[in-house]
Amino acid sequence: MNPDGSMLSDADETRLLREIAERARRLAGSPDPLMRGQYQHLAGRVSALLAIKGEVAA
Amino acid sequence: MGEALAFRDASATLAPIERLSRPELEALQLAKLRRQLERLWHTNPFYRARLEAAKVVPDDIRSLADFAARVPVSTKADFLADQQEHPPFGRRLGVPRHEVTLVNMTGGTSGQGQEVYGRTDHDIAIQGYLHLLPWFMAGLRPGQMALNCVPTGGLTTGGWGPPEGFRIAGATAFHAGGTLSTDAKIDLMLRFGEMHFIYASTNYLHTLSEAFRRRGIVPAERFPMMRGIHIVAEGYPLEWARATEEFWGCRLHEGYGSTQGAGFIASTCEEGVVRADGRRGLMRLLEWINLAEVCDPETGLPVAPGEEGEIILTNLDIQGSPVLRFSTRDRARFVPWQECGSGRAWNCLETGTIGRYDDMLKIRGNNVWPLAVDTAVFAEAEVAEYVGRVFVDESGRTRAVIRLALKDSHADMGEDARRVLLGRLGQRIKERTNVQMELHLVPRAEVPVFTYKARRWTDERKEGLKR
Repeated sequence: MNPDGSMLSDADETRLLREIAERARRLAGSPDPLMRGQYQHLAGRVSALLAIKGEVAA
Repeated sequence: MGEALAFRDASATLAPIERLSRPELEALQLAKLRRQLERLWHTNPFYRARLEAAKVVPDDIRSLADFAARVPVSTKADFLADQQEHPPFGRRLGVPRHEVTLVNMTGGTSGQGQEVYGRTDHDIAIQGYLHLLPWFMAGLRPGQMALNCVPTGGLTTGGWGPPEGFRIAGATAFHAGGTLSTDAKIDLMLRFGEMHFIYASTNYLHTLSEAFRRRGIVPAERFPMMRGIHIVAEGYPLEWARATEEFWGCRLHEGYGSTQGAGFIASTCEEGVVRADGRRGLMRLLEWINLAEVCDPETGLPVAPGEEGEIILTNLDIQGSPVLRFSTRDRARFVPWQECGSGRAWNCLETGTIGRYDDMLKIRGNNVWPLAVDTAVFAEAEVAEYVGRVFVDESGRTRAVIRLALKDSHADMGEDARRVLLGRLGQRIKERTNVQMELHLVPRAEVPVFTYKARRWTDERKEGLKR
């Protein structure tokens, strides 16, 4: 549910995941070795969620 | 020996914490502490009641000194009573039950009962970071191969934190603890050909080294890429640490952690467990995540630099089942930040000497900590393992008997050499404990191989005779 009480549609969820995936992929290129693995973990998690949602390009 | 990897400025995230002055670090601690107190006041009935009983409201805490002086310590007994009254988590859970995604419990080895900790997704990420961070400080970097010798899974923090830590480190990890025999772990290392990092209990690293020696393999030659070995759980003599570093060709690192700390509370930096001048090394407290006071267990006041005291622990970033001034019963030597020599303003604990107040054995009026005996026994390179028992014999005399096993490489030691070894050891144990113990050499198979925390001592006296 959104903060305003409205429900997310399936398409909304996928769109948000794509946005997060794109940002997480950028973060995973971090030069900081302490953070890079954590960002890779985040990117992997979001990529898996997109695959679970049926995204072919995940 | 491989060059230690400096972590100063290796991370843009960590560098600002490394550069904080002591007043700046304490200001950060206080800000996080006030946020935590405010949160607990509104969400955690257990701590709300304790603060109210102490007539403290969060706004009263204007300094770390206020906190130490006005907030009472909480104990394992307090947590167990809370769990008994409000099962299963107790009121100190402090988050909605449905937000708990991992349950950790203490081992129950004290015999008093198991504390239950409900962790949220946020806490699991912090728990992972509190394993990654010490390993990063010890030289682990993304893409490196790592062998985890500590058993994974189960109900303990020690079973879940390390896999999470290695995952977010971006390391290629082998979780072999508890599932592969020691020889199978060596085979695995040989099969993959390279290994950069090992995580193990002190005792298990000893077992692993012994197995390498038995097979005639020198790790320093076979795995020259090894960056570091990180040990936990038990103390050790300096001689053992130096010999182990030499044998493996890399720095030995140590961390101090617990379930209450949700991971590591302190860990060595690039220097490792032995300082350049040969003295015991320093574990830097990760004190912007967990606040650790080192206090005299009798007076509750902070100990002076160089003195031993009890760790009193406060989580600054944990949400589910947090601890606030928890009396850990862990005994450590406090070394102030000024002596650290790295320029970081983080207080320290001495390596190799963390012990427990409550594993102390009272033998003929003497306070004997198993660590004191460990330190004496394992200073002898020939000894593989030992177990000890305290009992009252038929004449009513309290006796302490130690059964020792030699390393396979020394199994054919002659009678004279055995007598000399036992004599030397008996004297050294007496010097450290004031107790004359009976020592017997037995075949290796008669002494257990400990795969995680060693439980070397059994006390077979009746309760009434312990005092």
